[in-house]
Parts: sequence; structure tokens; C-alpha cells
Amino acid sequence: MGSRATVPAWAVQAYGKWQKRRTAWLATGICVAVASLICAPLLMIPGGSMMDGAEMRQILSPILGEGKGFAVWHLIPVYPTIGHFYRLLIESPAFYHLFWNTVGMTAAILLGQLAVGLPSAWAFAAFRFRGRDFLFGLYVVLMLLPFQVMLLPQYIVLQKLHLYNHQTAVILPAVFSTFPVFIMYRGFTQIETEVLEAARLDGAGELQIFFHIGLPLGKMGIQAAMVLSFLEYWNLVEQPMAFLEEQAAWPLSLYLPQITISQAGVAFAVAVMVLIPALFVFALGQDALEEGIAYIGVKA
Amino acid sequence: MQTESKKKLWRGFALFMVAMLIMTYVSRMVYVSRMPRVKWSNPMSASIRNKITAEGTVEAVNAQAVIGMDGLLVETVCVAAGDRMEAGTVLYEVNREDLLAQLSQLEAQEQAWQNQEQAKRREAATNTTRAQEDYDMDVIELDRRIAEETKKLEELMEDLDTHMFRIPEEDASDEIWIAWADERLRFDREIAEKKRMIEDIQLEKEKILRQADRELEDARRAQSAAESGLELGASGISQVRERQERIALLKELSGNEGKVRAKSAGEILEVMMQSGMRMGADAVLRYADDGGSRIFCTVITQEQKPLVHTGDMVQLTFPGSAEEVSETIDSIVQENGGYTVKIRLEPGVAAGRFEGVMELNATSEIYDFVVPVKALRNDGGNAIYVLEEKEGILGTELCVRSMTVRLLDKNEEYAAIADELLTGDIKVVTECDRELENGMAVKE
Repeated sequence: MGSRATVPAWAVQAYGKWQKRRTAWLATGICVAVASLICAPLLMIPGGSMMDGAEMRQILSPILGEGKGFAVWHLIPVYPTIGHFYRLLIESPAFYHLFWNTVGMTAAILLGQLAVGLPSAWAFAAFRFRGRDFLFGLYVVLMLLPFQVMLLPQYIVLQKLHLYNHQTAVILPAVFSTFPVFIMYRGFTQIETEVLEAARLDGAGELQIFFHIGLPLGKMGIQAAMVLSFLEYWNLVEQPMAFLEEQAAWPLSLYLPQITISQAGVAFAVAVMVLIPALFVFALGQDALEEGIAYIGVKA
Repeated sequence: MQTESKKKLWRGFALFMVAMLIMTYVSRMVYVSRMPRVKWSNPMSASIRNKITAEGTVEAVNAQAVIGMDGLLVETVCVAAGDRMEAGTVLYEVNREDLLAQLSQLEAQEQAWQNQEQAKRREAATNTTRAQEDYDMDVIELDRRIAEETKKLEELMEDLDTHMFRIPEEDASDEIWIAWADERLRFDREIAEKKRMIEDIQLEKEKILRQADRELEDARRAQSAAESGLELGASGISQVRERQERIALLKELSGNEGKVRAKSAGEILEVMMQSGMRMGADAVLRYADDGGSRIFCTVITQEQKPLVHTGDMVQLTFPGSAEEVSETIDSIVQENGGYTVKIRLEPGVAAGRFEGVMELNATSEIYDFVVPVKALRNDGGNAIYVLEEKEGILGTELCVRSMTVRLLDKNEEYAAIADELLTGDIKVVTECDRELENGMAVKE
């Protein structure tokens, strides 16, 4: 029998490490590529908002039917300008009107959801009562229903309540949305039942338990619900389009369709301005959002 | 560390919102400051009063002409077109030597003609006398012959009577009776012949006398014609008269030292002669007689035409004169893209004036929609801006909308308009501090 050459242990280790690292690099590369593809429209926004009108028309000419070939986007404009921002921020009071409409509507919705959804979520999480499971199941079903299904019933109800063509027509249904209740409920369920029992044994009232135990411990769920609600209602399109005829009552999300192709630069500038509050909120609520999404693993 | 980062984010977010709030006001201010400020008014029901002013000319209805002295030489022209003339004003002078030469020539012709006519009259008178004499002679001669034949007839009749008393006896022979009868037959034949002869002479007398009478009549007519000058014929008489009139005229002109004077006052319209020119029988000068009628003529535009009607009372003034008269329009005629208005002036009006100004105050019917004329603008046609409330992103805003209208009438201040969409409540933009565009948001 001949002697066999044996591979040194360090080499086997090095090869294993190299294989792991290669796999990691490959995965990272694929992720970056996919992320870049997904984020491409977002990357177009800053460049488009500072692109000269003539340059933009030249780029978009194949899309507009005025040129041949394909539209090739310039991430960095050849002739950068802040003219679109000047027109938007200085010469377009309509933009601010709709901006503050959006702020007001979103704030009202979030406050309403806190006022309505928070006690509901606490009730589902902290109490055991007859029909609880059925009721919660109903909440989940309602949460899963798309808006288009609820459009006609909501329209009829709003007409009967004389709320059509008023911002309340958008705010009120949103206040009673079940999704934030579900998220906050999941946050509250993270509180140990023993803690609540101990508090009761110590003579704490239900309100005391809610305010002193429920809210502090379910804070992340509440924040996650608010961040998600904010992002949803900040960009609300369908409900205002369905229930608001008066332009003066519109949110900012309906401002973009009003801008013609000849003002595409302004549209990009609007997109930038719309993004800023959302980015702030996201940045502020990122931790809570991650934790909240973790709570609702099922939902996520 | 994380808390510090969040604080910064909160501060950034708050700063962003504050900045947005401030920019909201800035944007509003810029928007409003660029917004045109307008004034408006509702259309009213009213009539349009138009003051139409038009400059025109004064023209003579029938301009008088001064006919030239045919064949005379112009020495000096003393007037020019536009000159004022009075009765007796010297218009022009003729060359006196030429005048006298022509006068003497005409007088000589006249004298020769007179002599010729006199000779003709004398000859005619002689012819008449002769014809009368011939007539008288013929009468005498024929009467003599008739008397002679009558006497012979009477003698025959006497012989016959004698013959009849000598009738043969009854028992006379046949030869005697035959001879007597033959004799008797001869007498009867002679008597009949004499009677026929007398009748023939009488017929001849009538014929001769008729001929003589005609000749006498012709002679008398010729004499009469010679004395009256009828043998010249119409053209001859006319020539003679013309010559005589011309002689009289030249004599008169000669008496005026060759100066032709105006017979009445007026204005010289046109002078068609010049010194050294030999005049024809045409007009050498035209003038407007002060005593004659005149016409004021002016041209109005197509826009003014609906306001001006035949029979309208107008005021006429004449530059350089305090004279102001009220007259009525006699006619309006479309000419050369405009309308010529003619006004007949009373005799003596606008004497010495060639230009004038017509003023007419015309009040239209009552229109339903009258707006200030400054609200009207030309947008290919006539249009106005109306103020409307418009629901937009910024809420209810005032904006202007262009409305095409039909212009019915207008003056310097107001315009009457019409359109199916017009109502009394509509707000018509009358003033604005900058150029407006259709759909533009404005402020009051």
C-alpha cells in the first residue's frame, strides 16, 4: 500500500473560510444588484428634480413620441438647475396648501387611531371576554379586505352621514382601521400576564395598569403602528380620489397627477419634498418599526 | 448616542416643518403679489350717446362759369382759385389792341352786310312796281278786247233783229225762204261765235290776271323779305345777331378798357386761363355764387354709419368763422368703402368757406348690456373678461374668463354688447393693473 498525501488541517480551514466568504460576497452582490434595481426610480428623483427642462424633454422624447430609441436617464444632470424647486417652493402656493392638508389629515388619522385603536388593542390583549376571539377574527378579516371591496359601502355611509366631499370622509374610515389595532395588540401581548395579575393583586386599577404598564411596555408596538399608518396615509391616493371632489380638500398625493409632462421637473421636485417627511418619520421610528414587524411575524 | 441622534432627527423634522410653514406664507405672498388686481362692474341697461365729428368740404351746388370772350387774347389774369370776389371785381383783362382790331373787323363786316341788304330791298321794290304795272296793263288790254267783242256782238244782234223783220211772204218762193233761212242761220252762227269769243277773252283775262297777280304777289313778298331780312334764313339771322351782339359786347368791353368784371360776389373755384392765351367759347373761370346754394360733404366710417341717418339734425361749424348752423342730413351714400354724407346749406350759409366740421349727437336705442368701453378688448373679435369664482386647489378664487361678444354700439366711454350668455349679474372686468389672460386668478 502506498502512502497517501494528507491535506493539512489549516488548508482545509482556509478553504472553508474562502468558500464561506465567496458565498457571502456572492449573496451581497446579488442583493446589491436587486436593491439597485428596486431603488432605481428613487435614484432618478434627485437628478430629475434638478434637471433643466430642455434636457428632460430631450431625454423623455422617445417616451413622448417625439424621438426614436430609448430614454436614457442622466443620474447627474448635464445642466443642473434649482428652477423647479424655485417654482415649486416660491411660486406654487397650491403645493403648500395640499402639503398642510396632508399633514392635517395624517395627524388627525393618527390621533384618531390612537384614541380608538389603542383601547381596542389593549382590550383584546389584556382581557378575556365572551366573543373576544370572534371579534378579533372579524378585525383580522376587515384588515385583509382590500379598499376596493369597501369602497361602495363606505361611499353610501358617507353620503348618508353628509360627509362626502369632506376630509372627514377620508379621516373617519381611517381612524377605525383595524391594522394598527392588530399591530398594537401584538405589542401588548408581549407583556407577561403575570405582570398584569401582579398589578391587579397590588390593587392597581385597570386604567392604572393601562397607563403605567400597558403603554410603557407596548410602546414599540404603538410606535410601529403609528409609523406604518403615517407612511400609509401620507401617500393616500385612492380614498381622496374617491371621496373628495373639491381640490381644496385634496392631500398632496393628488397634486402630482395635476402636473403635466411639460412640468416633469416640478413633479420630481414635488417627489423630493414629499419624501422628506416620510424619511424623517421612518428614521425616527425605524427601531420601533423593526420591533413592531417582529411582533407581527405572521403579518410580516 | 441613539437618543442624541433621535433628538437631532426631531429637531431636523421640526425645522423642516417650520421652514415649510414660513415658505407657505412666502409663496402665498409671491402668488398674491403677482396676481392682477381688477375692478369690475355689472352691465347696465342704457342707451349710448355718440358724438360724431367729421371734417368735410363746402361745395357749390351749381358752380357758375365765366365764359371766355371767344377769340380774344388774355392780357392779365387778376384772380386765382380760392380768391374771394365781389361784384365788380376785375377777373381778367383782354388785349386792347386785339380787341379793337376784332371790333373794327366786325363793324366792317356789319356795314358791308347792311349795304348789301339795302340794295336787295331796292331791287325788290322795283320788281313789285313793275309787276303792278304789268297787271294794270293786262287788265286794261283785256277789258278793251272784251268791250270790242261785245260791241260787235251787239251789232250782230241788231242786224239779226233787222233781218227778222224782213220775213218773206207766205207765198214767196222756196228759194226766197231758203235764202232767208240761210241768212238767219248765218246770224245765229256769228252770234254764237261772238259769245264764245267773249267767253274766251274773259277766261283768258282771268288767267292772265291770275298770273299777273301771282307775279305781283311774289314781288311783294320778295320786297317784304328783303326789307325784313328773311331771305337770310335762320342761320344767317343768327350769324347776324351774333355778330351784332359780339360787336355790342366788344364795344362794351372796349368801354371798360378791356377789363372783365364779376357780376356777383362769390369765391373763385377754378381758373382755366392764363395770360397770353387766346380764349375759346368755353368757361375760363368757375366760381361759387354767394347767393347760390351749397352742399357740405363729409365721409363717415362704417362704424359710424348706424348712428347717422338721413334727416338727423347736425351742427356745422366752419374753421376761421364763428358761424354755427344747424342743418339736417339730406343724403347718405355708400362710396369707396365709406359713407358720404351730404347736407344742403341755405343760401348765404358758409359764404366764403371751403371746409367745415360736422357734429352729431346721436342717442341710440336702449341696450340691455352696456359696459365701460375700456372693458372691451380686441381678441380677433370683440371680447370682454368676466369675473368668476373658481374652485381650485387654493379654494375659491376669483378668476377671469374671456367671453366673445357682439359689439352693438359704442362711444368714447361705453359700449353696448350682446351675447346669449350675458346676464345683468355678470361681473365685467373694467380695469386691471396688468395684462390678463384667460383663466388667470385675480384679486379685487
